[in-house]
Amino acid sequence: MTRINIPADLLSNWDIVVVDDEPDSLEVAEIILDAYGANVHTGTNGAEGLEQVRKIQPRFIISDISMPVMDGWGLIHELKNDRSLMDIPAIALTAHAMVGDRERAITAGFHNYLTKPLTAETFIYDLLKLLMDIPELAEHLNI
Amino acid sequence: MGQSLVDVNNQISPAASTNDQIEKLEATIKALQHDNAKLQQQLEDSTLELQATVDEFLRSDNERKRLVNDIDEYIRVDLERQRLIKELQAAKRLAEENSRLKSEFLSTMSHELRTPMNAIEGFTSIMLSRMGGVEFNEKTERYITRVNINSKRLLQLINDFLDLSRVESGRLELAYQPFSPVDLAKRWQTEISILAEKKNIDFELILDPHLPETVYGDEEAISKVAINLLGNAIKFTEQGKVSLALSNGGENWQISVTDTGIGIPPHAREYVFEEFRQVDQTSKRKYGGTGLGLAIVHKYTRTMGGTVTLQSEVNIGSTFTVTLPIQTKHESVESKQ
Repeated sequence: MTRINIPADLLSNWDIVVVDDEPDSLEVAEIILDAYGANVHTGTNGAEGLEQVRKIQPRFIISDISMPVMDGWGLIHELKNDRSLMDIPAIALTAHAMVGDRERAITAGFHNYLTKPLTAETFIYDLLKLLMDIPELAEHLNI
Repeated sequence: MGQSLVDVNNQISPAASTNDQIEKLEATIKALQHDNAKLQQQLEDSTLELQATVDEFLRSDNERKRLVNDIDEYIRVDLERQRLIKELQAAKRLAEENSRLKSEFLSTMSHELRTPMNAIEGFTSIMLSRMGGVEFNEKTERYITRVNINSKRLLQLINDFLDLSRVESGRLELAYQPFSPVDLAKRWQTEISILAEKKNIDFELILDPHLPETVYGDEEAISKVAINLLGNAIKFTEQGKVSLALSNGGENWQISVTDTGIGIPPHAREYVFEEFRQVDQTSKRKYGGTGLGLAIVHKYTRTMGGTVTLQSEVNIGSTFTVTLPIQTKHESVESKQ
């Protein structure tokens, strides 16, 4: 379940938008996704994330929930109400044991959720499991 | 009233005889006496009547005063009641406010504690995976590994502590969903086999063929209970095996975790479910762990309306059995705290 089983070009040249107000958390995600070949674009709140998504039209989005200016709920609402963005899969980042958030994330339109902390050992593995569930992404994965 | 009165001067004629006069006078006196008696009677009657009227008046006045008092009393009681209602409403608001603050505090604390821990764990894991072009020697790697392991331990402690606080403050929200107990057990197996392999312990999954296909429950909470028990079983077992058995008990279903570990002496069986308690301090140093695992197991199980029992023999092993009600439709289980 480590990177050994997952090719380093898994996400080669994929544009991914990651949204989180914690710079450290954002950087950890960025380094790990970058290690698998992705082009990572970041935003530090929902509004910045939305701007990036409009500009980049990424393969998928990873977004934290609790953020200033516009939180993850605001972001998913905007995405799902925009015809040109509604089909881009979004994955929520939730804190440990916030079970309520997970249910709510799916209901709000997130494809699925990942739980923090994001680590080199588990992040890509957990992400891959989620991406395999999304046919339009699974077929483009380099595995 | 005056018609029978006799005018004495008019009745006595100067020409009449003395006898006649005496007779007349006597008759007059008699008549007067009669009238007097009558008057006396009338006076007495009137007095009685008046007395009755006065009595009646006094009685109704007392009645009025009593009613006035009653009304005063009623108003006083009503004011008191309103005051008590206000006091209770204020106490309720205060309690709700306290509960909200407590919940807010928990959620803020949990976020503030985890954020730096997540960064430590994230960055050390990146370094150990040599991502981002980092390079370091063997000694550095050993030290970073220690930081990573300790950050994981601290994060586990924080998570356990917050799980416990949540269930103790009645903030554990159970999300009831239909799920397959067999699929869930297989997921636990995947997670636990890795730990078992590392310690060279066998892991066995025993599934009752009569298990219901679907039950309603909070998978997350049930998994927390099972993973804690399984993790403990592996932790306290040096050789042999750990088995996980799921069985159908009619109205209940059971999750049993059996190990061939060190066992729990009888005196310790009473307190192993308490916070920060292991069999003794030596065991804590030797086996590690936060000492919160069984407290979480106990409290989560109770919140789900279930029970947990323990059978153990020193140096032979232990069996923890969690019994949960089978819920085939959506029913909420009242917290039994």
